[in-house]
Amino acid sequence: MENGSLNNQAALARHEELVVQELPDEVVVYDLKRHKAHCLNKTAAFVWNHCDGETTVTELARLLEQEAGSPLDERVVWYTLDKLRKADLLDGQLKSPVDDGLSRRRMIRRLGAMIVIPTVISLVAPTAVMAASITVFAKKIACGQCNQQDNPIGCVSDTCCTGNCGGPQRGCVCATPGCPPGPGGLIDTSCTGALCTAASAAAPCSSG
Amino acid sequence: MLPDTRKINPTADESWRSSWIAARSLVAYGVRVGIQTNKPRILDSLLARIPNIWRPSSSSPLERVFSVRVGTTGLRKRGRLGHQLFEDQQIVANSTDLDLILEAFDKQLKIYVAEMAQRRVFVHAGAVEWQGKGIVIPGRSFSGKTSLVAELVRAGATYYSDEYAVLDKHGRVHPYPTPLAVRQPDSNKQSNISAQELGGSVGVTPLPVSLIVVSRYAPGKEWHPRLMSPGQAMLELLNNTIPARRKPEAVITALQKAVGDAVSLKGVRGEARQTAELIFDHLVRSQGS
Repeated sequence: MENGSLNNQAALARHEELVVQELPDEVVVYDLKRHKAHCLNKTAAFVWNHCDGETTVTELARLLEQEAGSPLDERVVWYTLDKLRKADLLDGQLKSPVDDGLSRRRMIRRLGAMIVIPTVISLVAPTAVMAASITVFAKKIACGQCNQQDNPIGCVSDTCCTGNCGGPQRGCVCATPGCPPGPGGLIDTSCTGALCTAASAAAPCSSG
Repeated sequence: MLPDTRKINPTADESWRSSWIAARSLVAYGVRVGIQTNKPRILDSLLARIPNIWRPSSSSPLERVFSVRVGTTGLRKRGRLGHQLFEDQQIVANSTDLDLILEAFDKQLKIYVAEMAQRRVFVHAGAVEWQGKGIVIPGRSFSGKTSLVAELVRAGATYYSDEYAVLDKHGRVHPYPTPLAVRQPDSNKQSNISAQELGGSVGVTPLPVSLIVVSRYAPGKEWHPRLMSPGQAMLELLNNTIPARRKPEAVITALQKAVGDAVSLKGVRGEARQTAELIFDHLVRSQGS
């Protein structure tokens, strides 16, 4: 398919299971299905709001051109549609031009100050425990066992220590309750990262 | 008089119910919980830990019951029997250290009310008021929220919270006046300090948010924040919102109102005292412009 016919395609914005909040120059979208939030800047919001399944890419480029007051080509629209597709904000499939996309750097060089570079900022909404960022206070748990109280990696249920119990580091993983108990070997989980460091060098292991 | 524990948990079987001999029912932000223990002396320790947002409640049903079972020393092969914390009948903490169990109770109770609160949105953030302007500082633990809030209070701000910015549907921030949990240098241990000890006072009225400060402490840095758009500020707040997944519609509405008239700044900061002065400077300049 040549670019001309590709540009005759029309994108359709997804509206199901979204909470949409219009701001003066932006749109914030909360995806109820994936628990992700997106902030579309003015240009991205303009394109998304015109993805009605009827307005073609070429027409969208012309509308954007009018909005910007400067000549723009379809690649700006494709760039934006790619961002929206990656954010799961489009329905249906579009066949996009091959090797004709624009990197952000090339986009900035090409557009300069003509329009605001289209951006979609996304984040995964935190669970209550993540947002509360529970901290850990040197609670010791046995290697191979599970810690239901102090959670080094913010698991919803609890944390299990795994890996080589004789090694200097053990991995902490989220797990469901009821992990099989392992051999003794207390480790210090005061870290807040993904790895647990060994307890004091003098007594890295003991019976729990 | 003790409440009837059947009222606290009507679905529990008799053996479960009969093991608890001291209990209370409490309510905060429309959330009703029960706390119970098998040792009456522990009930006072539990009640001493709960923030003063909780009030006694006599009505039912309760939404969640927190139970602390105190173990008895010398009964197990290895000479000790662990203490346990339950939420309803699900065990959530298990330790031979009773202080850790009480700490877990404190954390779990706070998260529960922050997630389930009616008509309020809890954002993990510090909050103060200065000259009628609300300043909200969202951030996870170890981002330096409390130290910045403490310096702002020392410098004359009114204390609202160092833990949760409690927003209503109009985006106004309400006080959540628990003591500041100041982390001791080079340690994870925290000690509680009141706003009065810092020479400040505690806010009582809800106020609109004028400034949102997203920052992370880095030694030796100077604060040169960049301006965030309202949408970006909403995402920053959402990233620290406890009930983000449970009630996203209400959350989005409250956050949109909160950022509506606020200036939002983001950047790495250095020492809290210097940053507090810069924050006040910024507010003074924005008043003049």
